[in-house]
Formats: sequence, structure tokens, C-alpha cells
Amino acid sequence: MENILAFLTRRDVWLGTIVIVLIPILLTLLSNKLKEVRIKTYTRREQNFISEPFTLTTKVSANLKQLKAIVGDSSDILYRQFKLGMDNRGCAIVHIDGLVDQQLLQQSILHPLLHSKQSKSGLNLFKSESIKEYLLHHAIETSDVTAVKDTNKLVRKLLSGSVLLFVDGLDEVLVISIKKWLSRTLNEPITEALVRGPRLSFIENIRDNTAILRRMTTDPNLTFTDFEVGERTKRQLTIVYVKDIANEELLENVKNRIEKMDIDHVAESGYIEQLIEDDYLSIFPQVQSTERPDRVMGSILEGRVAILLDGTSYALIVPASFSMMMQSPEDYYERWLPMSLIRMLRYVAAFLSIFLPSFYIAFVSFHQGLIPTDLALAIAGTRVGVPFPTIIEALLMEVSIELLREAGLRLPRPVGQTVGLVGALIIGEAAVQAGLVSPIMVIVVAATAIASFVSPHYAAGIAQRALRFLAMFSAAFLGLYGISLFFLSLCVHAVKLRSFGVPFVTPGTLYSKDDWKDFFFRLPLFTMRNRPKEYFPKDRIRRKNY
Amino acid sequence: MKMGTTRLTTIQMIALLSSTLIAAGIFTLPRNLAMKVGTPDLWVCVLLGGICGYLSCLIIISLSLRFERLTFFEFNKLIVGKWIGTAMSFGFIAYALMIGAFEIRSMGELTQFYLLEETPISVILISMYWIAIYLLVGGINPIARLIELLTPASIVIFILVFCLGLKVFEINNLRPLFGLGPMPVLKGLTPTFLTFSGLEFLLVFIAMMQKPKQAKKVALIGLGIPVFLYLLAVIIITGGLSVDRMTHQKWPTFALIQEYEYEGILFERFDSLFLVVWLIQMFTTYVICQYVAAEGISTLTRLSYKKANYVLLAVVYIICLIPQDLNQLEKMGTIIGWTSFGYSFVIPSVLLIIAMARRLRSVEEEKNEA
Repeated sequence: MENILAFLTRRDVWLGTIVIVLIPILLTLLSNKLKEVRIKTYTRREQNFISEPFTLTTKVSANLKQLKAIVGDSSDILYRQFKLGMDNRGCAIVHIDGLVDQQLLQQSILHPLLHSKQSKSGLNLFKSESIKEYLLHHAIETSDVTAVKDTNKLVRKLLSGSVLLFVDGLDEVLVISIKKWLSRTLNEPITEALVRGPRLSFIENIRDNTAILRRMTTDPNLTFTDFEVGERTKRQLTIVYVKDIANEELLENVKNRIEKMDIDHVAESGYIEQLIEDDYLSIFPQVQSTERPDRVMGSILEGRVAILLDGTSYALIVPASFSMMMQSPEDYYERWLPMSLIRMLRYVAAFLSIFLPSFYIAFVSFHQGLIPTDLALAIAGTRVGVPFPTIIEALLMEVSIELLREAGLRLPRPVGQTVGLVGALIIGEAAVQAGLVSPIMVIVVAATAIASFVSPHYAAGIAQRALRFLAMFSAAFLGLYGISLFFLSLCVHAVKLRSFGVPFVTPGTLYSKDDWKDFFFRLPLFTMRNRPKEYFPKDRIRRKNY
Repeated sequence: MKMGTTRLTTIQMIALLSSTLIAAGIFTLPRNLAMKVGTPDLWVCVLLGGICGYLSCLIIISLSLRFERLTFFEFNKLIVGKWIGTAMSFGFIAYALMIGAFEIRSMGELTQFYLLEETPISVILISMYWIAIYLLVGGINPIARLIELLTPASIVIFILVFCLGLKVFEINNLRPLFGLGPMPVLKGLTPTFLTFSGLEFLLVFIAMMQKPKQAKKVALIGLGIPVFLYLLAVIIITGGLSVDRMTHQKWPTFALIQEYEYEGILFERFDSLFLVVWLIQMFTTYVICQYVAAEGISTLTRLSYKKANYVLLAVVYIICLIPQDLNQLEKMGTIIGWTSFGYSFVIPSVLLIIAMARRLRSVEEEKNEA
């Protein structure tokens, strides 16, 4: 009895209990608060970027005046007034210089209008109802023509590169689309280079991108759905999916999140990624971004959904999972045996790039007894004269490697390579000479850096770099035990994470006979008879029999 | 078309059951068995214990299947009335907490002994508890996924480490079989109860299964894996160390692993590798125990599942500090063993008999909640 009382009054027990409960509660409250910050809805003040919507009249001059009042006197907007062929009716063409195919404009619009002949049509041109009929059916020689009444839409169309045709006696405007602007030529994807595979990357123009995808298949189920994002700038966003494969719930989810987005201007698909991802506090990328059309095609055929944005060459693929961070399209282009080995190599590389320096720290400063005696002696020998504890040593080298990497990225290419090489050689060599770090540390840091370049997915690589530092700190704090705690918490975080309703880590796929084939290994293609269950595709069968 | 399910798949259940059973027992069982039995028949005890475990699993399953989608905390009231049922449930919760505390404390002791001699044990314990609570508040699905993720790796490393022990294996240490008759074997059944304590959590988990009909398969495989591993461990340890030396070692398992050395490969000693893996196994066992306890609390009281977890965190921490030294910890283990016998065998059979006598049965009406 006394023992129990003595136990209950021990101060360390009470302090421990308070600490153990209070800190998780505080952290939970904090993270809840942080999550609330994101979902909090601000009511946006009604914004009218077009000052006053006007009503179209039948007089061209009046309409033009109204339009000018809205778009102002920008120098790149051209107004061209003329008389319609034999009818002598007043017309006007408004377009933006630089966004329109000038040659086509001359040949297919201006020329036929100026020379239009009544005889061809048989319609009475003097009647206003028939003028629209005539223009649409007989005069204008381009394919994309619509009659628009809504003036807001009209202005947006004009500003996005369409040609407006005003005609006297018609209270509608014909919008003709002959867009053409400068765009980059198709290039090799720089960030995701492959040895074997199509040398083709997305570019900034969304129409070209959809065309690239369309070129890959004639499947009528390939669907593009358009959205406009950005309250002010109204950029075009297209989601791409295969209608009879993608799960409806997923699709609904993606559409919902895109519609809910509240942002002024979307400069890059990274904005979209950050606005639609599940957990903004997580270190893992929950959306995959890629420049490779073949990767997008492969993903949508697995039942995922791709998001293209006008003005950027990066497409997004949702949902993302852990295994995709280790996959490269090339895995499927080369033969399965070498590619399985390379796939496994990637897992090893990811593990090393996160944990190697922390193992060094743990073994050298906590558990010298666990490594082979000769090695322990060798390390101890090289560490003679190093004034810092291993964690400082490791931090010093890791930070300088990160500095070199960032510096090499920003500099002009030829200089960048030199900086990387010279920096690594000189800093490593000099640091050892000066006795700041031990040579084995330099080896560890170099191996880690090389391992981190293996990652086929840039965003995952960045996450690994950040995690490495956390691992180093936990190793410095609790040694091998700290590393295993860190590993555990990483696993816990990964299993709690979801990306668009799909668990980020789906270990169930490891055991399901169909899906483990493509996890650690990449088994021969003929074995992959079904689409991965991970994304709950509607149509699971890839091919009927072996 | 729905995406995913919140119920446990069969494979998740197998992983859950086997990793509940694989825990600190691997360190304590060989010595306790050797103390009790004293002859090289240790492995027969494990086998017998496994068979008994399977029988009690069958009782638990047939009981749980009578009450579809109801956990132990819910259906015991239907059988024995509100008061006794509630008492039983609280006993069960206390028992789960005790196992959890026992696992974490053993983990702390091992870590302190082998890895971090100068670190105070409370630091080791608290850091582990924090990670556990981070996982626990997410509910059963993340827990199941984590266990599914980690269990195969630990099994592989386990088998690897023990097969390396074949280097010092001597078959003579395992002879003679039944040298002193079958009596010592029966004596050894008590320590195996602790090892296989955790079976009774099936009383709760069957209700959460996607396909409860496959519960028997789950029990067979989920019990088969740990029995196989323990059998392997006990045989190799007895063969490597002999029963005599086993009784004198604090942790015979580590003694065996330290016995052999492979020079020229990356590690010379495998005890650290093994310990790290086993830390994770003890962690998962603890998490399952606390999940069961918190689930029980939230069923019985008005506390929500999350709040119950925070409260129980403090309770488990205090319980795990109660044993002053390893001997008391061992005593706690024995108490758990006997309670386990009660909850995995006595109570389920009594409940099953009453339920059969009263023809109690509750079948969930066909709701399509996948």
C-alpha cells in the first residue's frame, strides 16, 4: 500500500503523465486550427471586371462605342470598318493584333465579305433576319463561327483572340475563331529525360497539349472537360480522363475541388496542385506533376485523372500514391528483368538518401559496437582531430551540398556544372584537409547526394531532402532508436495520408495478386492483365487472356 | 462506384492478428519456458499452446458470428445483462491496457539495455507514446494499413536473423524428447498463455471485418504465422544455447543472436537489426491494445473515441511505470497470462454456452454499407 502511495506521489510520474498527454493534445489543437485556416470560406466581394454589361443594338457604330468603353483604347486592338460586298451594309471587324492568324483573316473572312455576291445565296440581303443566315452559311470560310449575344462573353472572347464581326441590322455578333500565336516548338522533356521513350514534352499551349494526347489514341472515351480558373484572368483548365475507366466518385471529387478553388490568377499548375491537395501540412507530394504526355496517357488509362492548364507545360495527375514516386515510364519500355532491378535500386536509393547520414551519426556517436570492429577503428582514426560532434559534421556537409545544388541550378548551364564539380571537389577536399570533417563523412554525403538524384519524380526528391535532415536530428537525439522512431512516424504519416480519397500508401496492393507485380518489381507486361485496383477503375480488364 | 471501404479486409485482419501475437513474447518466452519446463521439450509446448489458441479462437469466432457487426462490448450485455456485461467490458479494457503497458515497458527496458544506456527510460517511453497517439487518432484503417505494411518486413527479418543462428545450432541440445515424460510439457503451457494473449481481441475485430465469414481462415493463418515463428525461435534458441544456459540468460533471444558472428558483411552483429524490427512489432501490439481499449471506452461511456485515447494515454503510461524492475515486470506478465486465459477461453465459452442455451442471435438486416 505504501509502495503504491509512494509511487503515485513520485514527481517524475506526474510530470511524465502531464507531458505525455498535454503535448499531443496541444499539437492536435494546433493542427486542427491550421487546417481550419484553409477551409475557412471568405466571401469574395462581387467583382465585375467588365464595368457595365451593355445590350447590343442593331447599329454597328453604337456597339463599337460601347465596346471601346469597356476594353479601352489599347493599342493592340484593331477596329476595321468596311462595307459588305454588294449590299453596302456597314460592318466592322474587331480583333487583337498578334493573337489572330492574319493570313487566314484576309483570305477567309475579309476577302469573301468584301466580295460577297448575292447570286450565290438567293437570299434577300436587305432583310436583317437573313443576313445572319447568309454570313454563317455562305460568306465566312472558317469552321469555328458562333453568334453571341452575351456581351460579357463577347469581351472575353475578343480578349482571348477571337475575331468579332459586327454587322448593321443584326443585334448579335459573330465570333470567329482563327487564333494563332507564337508558341514553342515541341521539345524533349528536360526534367524527366529518358533513355528510351518518346522525345516529346508538353508545351505551354493547351490546345497543342490536348492534341498531343488525342494523337496517342482514337479511343472515343478519351474525354476533355474544360473549366475556367482564376476570377480575374479566367484561364482554361482541362481535365482529361477516359470515360469508361475513371471512377465517377474520383471524377466528381476532382471537379468539385476545381470549382471550389478561389483564386485571382493561376500562373502555373503548381497553384492548382496546392489548392486542391488534401493535406497542405504534409511533406509528401499528393499530386503528381509531369511534362511527359506518355506518362499522362499511362495514368489516365489506369483510371486516374489528369489536369492540364493553359500556359504551363506541367500536367497534374491525381490521385497520387507512394508507389508512383518510384515509377518511371521507362520501366515499361525496357525489358522487365533489368527494369525490375532498377526499380528495386530506386527503393534502395530512396532509403539511402533519407537515412544514410543519420545511420552514420547513430553508429558513430551512439553504437560504435554494432559496426565491424575494423570499420569502427577506421572511422575513429579518421575522426581524430575533428572538433565537432558528428551531427554538426554531418550538418556542415549536408548544408554545403544543398547550397551547391541550389547554386548549380540557378547559374547558366555551363557555369553551373563547373560550380557543382569544383565546389564538391574543393569543399570536400579542403574540409578534410582542414580537419573540419572526416573523409568518411565526405563519402557518406556524396553517396547520399547521388542516391537522391535517382528519384524519378522531382517533388519526391525534394521531400526526401527535407526528410533527411529530420532523420539526422532524430539520430543525433536518440541514436538507432531515434531512427526507428522516425521511420515509424514517417510510416504512420504516410498511412494516414489520402490523396483524393485514395490512401497514399496502399499496402493491400502488395498482397493482392494483381497489383504487387508493379510495386517492388516490374513483372513482364503479359502478367499485368488488370488495371491497378488502387484507383478503383470501372473497367478493370486490360487484356482478356495471357 | 464506391472508392474503397472502411471495413477491414481479410489480409489486414491476418496481419493484425499475427502482429498482435508477435510481440515481447519472443524475448520472454524462451527463458520462462526453460525455467518451467527444464527439459528440451520446449517447442512441444509452443505447438500445443498454438493448438489450444486455435481452439479458443474457434470459440471466439462462433460467438462473434452469432452477433453480426457487434463488438464484445456490445454483445455481452445482450447475453449476461447490463451490469455483468459492463463489468466484463471494463475488465477487458483494463486487460488490454495492461498488455499495452507491458509491451511498451518491455520495449523501453530492452532499448535502454541494448541501445541507449544513459537515456532515462521515460524519454524512450514518451517518444514512442507520441507516435502511437498520432496513429491512434486516425482510427482503425490507418492502423490496419500500417500493420499490413510493416508485418511482412518484420517476418522476413525475423526468419533471416534466426536462420543465421543455425550456425551455432546443435541438434543434441534438443534431445532427448520427452526425457522426463509429458509432465514438464504441461507445466510449460502457462508461459505460452502470455505469448498468445491477444487472441481475445478477435472479439472486437471480427465485427469490423469486411467478410466475417472468413474469420476462421483469418484465425488459422493469423495464428499459424506467430506459432511458426515462435516455434522456429524456440527450436533454434534451444539448439544454439541448450536449456541450461537459457535459464541463466536475461534475454536468451539476444544471447543467441550475439552468439554468432558473420565477418566480412556489413553488420557483424544482428541484435541491433533485430531489436529495431522488434521495437516496431511491440509498437504495433501496443497500438492495437490501446485501440481496443479506446473503442471499448467510447462504446461504454459518452467519451468520444479520440478523447478516450488521450485519457488512456495517461493511464497506460502510469501502468507501465508501476513495475519497479524486471522481476516485477515478469510478474505482471504472468498476471496477464492468466487473465488472457480467462478472456480468451473461459469467458467466451461461458458466453457461448449461455447464448446457445438462450438461443440468442442477432443478425444485421441487409444494409448495403460497403
